[in-house]
Amino acid sequence: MTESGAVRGPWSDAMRRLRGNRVAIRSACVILVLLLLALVGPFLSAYALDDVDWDHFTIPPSLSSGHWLGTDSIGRDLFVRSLFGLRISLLVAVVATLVSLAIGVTWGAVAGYAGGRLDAAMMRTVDVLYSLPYIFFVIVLTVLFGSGLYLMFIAIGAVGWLTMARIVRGQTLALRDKEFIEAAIVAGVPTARILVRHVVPNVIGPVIVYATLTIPQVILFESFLSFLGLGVQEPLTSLGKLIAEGALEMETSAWMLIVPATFLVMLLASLSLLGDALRDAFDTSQRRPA
Amino acid sequence: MTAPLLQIRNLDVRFNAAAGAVHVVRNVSLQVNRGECLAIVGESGSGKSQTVLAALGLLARNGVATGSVRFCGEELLGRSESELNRVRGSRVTMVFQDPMSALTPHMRIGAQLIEVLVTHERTTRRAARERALELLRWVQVPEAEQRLTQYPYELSGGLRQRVCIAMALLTRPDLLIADEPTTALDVTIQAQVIELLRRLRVEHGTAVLLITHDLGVVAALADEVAVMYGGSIVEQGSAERIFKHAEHAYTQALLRSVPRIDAPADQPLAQFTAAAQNHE
Amino acid sequence: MNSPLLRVQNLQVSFAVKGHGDYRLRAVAGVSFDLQPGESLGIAGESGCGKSTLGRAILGLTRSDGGEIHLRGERIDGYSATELRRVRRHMQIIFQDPTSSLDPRISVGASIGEPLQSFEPTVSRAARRERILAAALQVGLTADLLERYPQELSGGQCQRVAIARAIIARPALVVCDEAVSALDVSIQAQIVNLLRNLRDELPLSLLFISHNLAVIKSLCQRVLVMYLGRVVESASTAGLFDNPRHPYTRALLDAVPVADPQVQRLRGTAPLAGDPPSPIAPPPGCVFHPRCPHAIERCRIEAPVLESVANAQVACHRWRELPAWNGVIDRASSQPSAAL
Repeated sequence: MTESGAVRGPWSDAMRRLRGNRVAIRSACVILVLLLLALVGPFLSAYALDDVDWDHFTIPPSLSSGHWLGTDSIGRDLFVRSLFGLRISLLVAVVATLVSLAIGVTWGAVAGYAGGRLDAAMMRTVDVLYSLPYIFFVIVLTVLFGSGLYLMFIAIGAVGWLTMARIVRGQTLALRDKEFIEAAIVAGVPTARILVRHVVPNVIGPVIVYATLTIPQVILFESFLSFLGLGVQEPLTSLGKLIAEGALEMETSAWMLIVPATFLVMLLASLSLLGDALRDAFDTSQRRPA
Repeated sequence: MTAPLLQIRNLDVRFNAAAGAVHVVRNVSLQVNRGECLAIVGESGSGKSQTVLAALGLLARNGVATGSVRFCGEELLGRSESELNRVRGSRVTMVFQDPMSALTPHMRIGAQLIEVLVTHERTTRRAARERALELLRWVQVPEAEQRLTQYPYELSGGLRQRVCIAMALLTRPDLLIADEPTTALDVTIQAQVIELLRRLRVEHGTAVLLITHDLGVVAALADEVAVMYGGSIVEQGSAERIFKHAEHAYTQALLRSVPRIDAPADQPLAQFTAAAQNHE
Repeated sequence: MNSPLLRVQNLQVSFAVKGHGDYRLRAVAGVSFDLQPGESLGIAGESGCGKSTLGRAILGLTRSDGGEIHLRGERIDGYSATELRRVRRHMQIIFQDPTSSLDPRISVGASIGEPLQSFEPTVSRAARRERILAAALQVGLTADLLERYPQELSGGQCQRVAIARAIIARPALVVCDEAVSALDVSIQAQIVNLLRNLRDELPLSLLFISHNLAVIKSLCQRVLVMYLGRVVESASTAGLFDNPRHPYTRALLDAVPVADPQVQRLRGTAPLAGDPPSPIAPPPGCVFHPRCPHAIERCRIEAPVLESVANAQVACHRWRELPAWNGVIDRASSQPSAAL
């Protein structure tokens, strides 16, 4: 029962499914738009990140004033600042996720494949690290190294790899007894190559899905840290910081809160929807077409 | 001549899949008479299982069945779930290939058996329990009383299949449908189940509709045979005739290529010619 | 007699059982046999008899904890993973499920070529492509299928891919673990014939593990019958099927239905009672005695040893006293004396 040409490789199959999912397409578009805005948007405005407009303190959004989304309490343009904040949030999310992917996938694949005592030792390490409260850990890091952008990468990446390792380990365990792995062993493939060539590509599906679904968590976490004052420092800003500042002025200048919050919500929602769609696309691609 | 128990006429089954409509059963007509065993033989993709599922209204949601399916003269196709449930499970029962998935894992055997009777007949729990025991003994499940309190995972595959057969016989059905009942079983257990099905016909006159790819099982049990390929019936007739004088090329090729234990040792098997086989 | 390709002596494989403390389940309890080059040996038995475990232990996929395995004169039991990798050049495996034995993310051509990369790393890419093509053609695949993925191929085609992968590095021995059991009858015949041709042409030794006696009869020159981790009978195929000596072998042969209603009608034997026992708690004495229609007191106490007779072996106290077996048909029915 050859599906002549109807099905190609597992990746293109998943991509095809994704393309057929309207919600996924729309979410991806929203993310792209936000990305474009973040990269290009600030150049569209006359104002820079930390320009203080002495004439226009705390004004609501208005086209006439040139401050399309208003200003904050010291006259900085919110449009530009929000987009910069978006940049920072996205940057932290991507880099931190990559860091946790790199560490987590390696750790989980090795533990899951090795089994036995090595697996136990590696996963108990994960368990112990897991039980440490993140915040204290980040605070300690901040105290030791000072706060800032690079600290965010390290702090969040160092915490995010734990769940990734667990997921990859679980997937690897399920995979280890599959016959094609045993076939590779009998075909003389050395262990490292089995991991790289056979294990990782077959677990990467759920990993990508998980990564997409954790980016929102990472952004929130960074926002939270910034909210607490532990995150990025002036003049850099992030959506979290903007929300923190906006929350203080909520009663009188609501737009200071609403503008960054809206960006954040849009980003998180589209990422979650896209992540869901990705999971559906990858799940069905494992099954053989009837 | 008595009316046939189950009469399927011009049955057509299509599935609406993403890539278009798939025609899995094409214009199938067959019948099962009282007390008789009809075997539907075919390889994977022949449509044999879908034929029966369609007849009982058990198709997947995107499946459409047209034609006529009459059970004791009553049309089944297109009836509502509640109307079908009067027939399914009481007058027509089914045994599947995998006994583990046919039994509820978290319910004790006894509870499942009693549930069947209580659902379909007005009977007390005590009477239901007695009947369940009676049937477990008939299918030769040792220590029947104890089995009632056990869970499915505690039984071996062969015992589980026998419990499933017992469950299918609780309501004294007119017709038992068995879909690959022995495929997942060991050889010696398969022989036991074949013997059970044979006794069923001889002792109780229950008709059996057997779906299988195993020609040996067909030879052991069937009175009538229908051979399916690519969704259609390519040949039907009495078991004697089909095995002795098959007329269709596919049936002939199938019979020739089956390995047999009474054939000479270490000899090549007859193969389908390229023409007879566009199956792959 | 030439030294055998594979010599297995008193092989023992056991597993720890969760929840039972120190208890070990003996999956293979002392199996010995020789396999000559170019010979096909069938290992027959039902679930729990240990035949799959035996095949895996020979390949080193499962660790054995007793006995010896000699491949081409070299003792390989107890080898480390590195040493095994070297030896596996000479023995490969074909699994039961064609699609799950192939990596779904890799094209079938690449899967076929994998053993070459391990065992003949000096082969250039171009030469490797040629070898892959040659192997594919040898098993009846066409060149255009090499770029496809396993999900796009049928079961029969996938199994051919698995066979091509198994033979490409020219091993001396291929273990077939229920290699045709998941295939349709029409495809089964083709694959069995393909294996026979490869056995004769390459030549190749086959260790053919299967519960399907008819297929074993068609493909194998000798047969071992296993029950609960032990060999109960071994003989040439013709010898075993014409004159089975062990009661279990007879019961197995009686149980297989023949695709001929007339023949079936003439076979009047009641089927073997009971279930295959669990290896966790094997019966004392002869492990078959609870189901054996000819069991006597001695069978309950003393386990029989494998005796040699003519070109065969049988492990039964009473085999000399059993009535003659009349063949697949015309079998005088015997009532089992054991209670249900």
